[in-house]
Amino acid sequence: MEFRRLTASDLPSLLELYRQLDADDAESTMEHSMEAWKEIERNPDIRYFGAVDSGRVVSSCYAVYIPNLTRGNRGICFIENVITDKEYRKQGLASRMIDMAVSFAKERHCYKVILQSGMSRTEAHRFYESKGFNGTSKKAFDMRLED
Amino acid sequence: MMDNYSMIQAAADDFETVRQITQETIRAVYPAYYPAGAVDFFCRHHSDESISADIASGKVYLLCDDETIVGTVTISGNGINRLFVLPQHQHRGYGRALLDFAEQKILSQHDTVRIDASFPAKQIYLKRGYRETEYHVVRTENGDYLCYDVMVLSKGGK
Repeated sequence: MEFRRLTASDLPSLLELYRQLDADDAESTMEHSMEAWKEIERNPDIRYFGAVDSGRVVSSCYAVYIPNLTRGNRGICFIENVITDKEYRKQGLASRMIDMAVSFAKERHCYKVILQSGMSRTEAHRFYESKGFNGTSKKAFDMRLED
Repeated sequence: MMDNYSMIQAAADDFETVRQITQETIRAVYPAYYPAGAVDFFCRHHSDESISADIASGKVYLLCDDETIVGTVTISGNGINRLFVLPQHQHRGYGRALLDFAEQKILSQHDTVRIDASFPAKQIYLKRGYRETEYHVVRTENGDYLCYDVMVLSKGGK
């Protein structure tokens, strides 16, 4: 198993993995996905991590560094799209993904790392708490926007 | 041995680990092959600055077997650099795993793999199909000499 930052050549495999994230997610063409990927790659504050098994992305998350003007100008790191292929769960892969994201946050001298998890996903909550996240200190809000 | 190994791209906070594997392995293995001046030269060659820069550009990998980090390799373009397995973990196939990994990665994008071969490892590279393409002699600070081969593996050459 290889644990590394993802690159453009991993995109098809990553998108395949994302189908497990939300089966109802709106389909995108490879062309549009590649456009989005290029925007991601141009931004040094976004980093995609993956566990890659024989060329296949089987676990992933991404981290975004956000500059900040409080806390001595130490930034915030936001983690999104944490996912592991259903055939590869219970092997500690997501744990390694989170470790890589946290290392990135430390490299950028962030003062905190944040992520959100669905209210009902208690097993995921236990996992994040085992990784050192506090699941009770904040209440997250999100607002969904129309197209 | 080699129960459950993985290759991990090193992050900034792995710097000390990479530095330690590099320095410890050179100090333990090279004195049997090179004079003192050459050993110091190798230690300085893998400077903190070069390790940091390579980590920042995502070129450095760690070989981790069941949570223990046993070795490291740096992949720069088509070159394999800084390939070391800690002395206490040698002769268990880790070096081969690092080479397999690096060669595969390089050959997916390049036609050849290039490596600066030290004496201790030259025989291994010959057996894997590498050929010497250049021979270098460096005179070190204290007057000791250091020799190494540039070796190249061609796609389909193994």
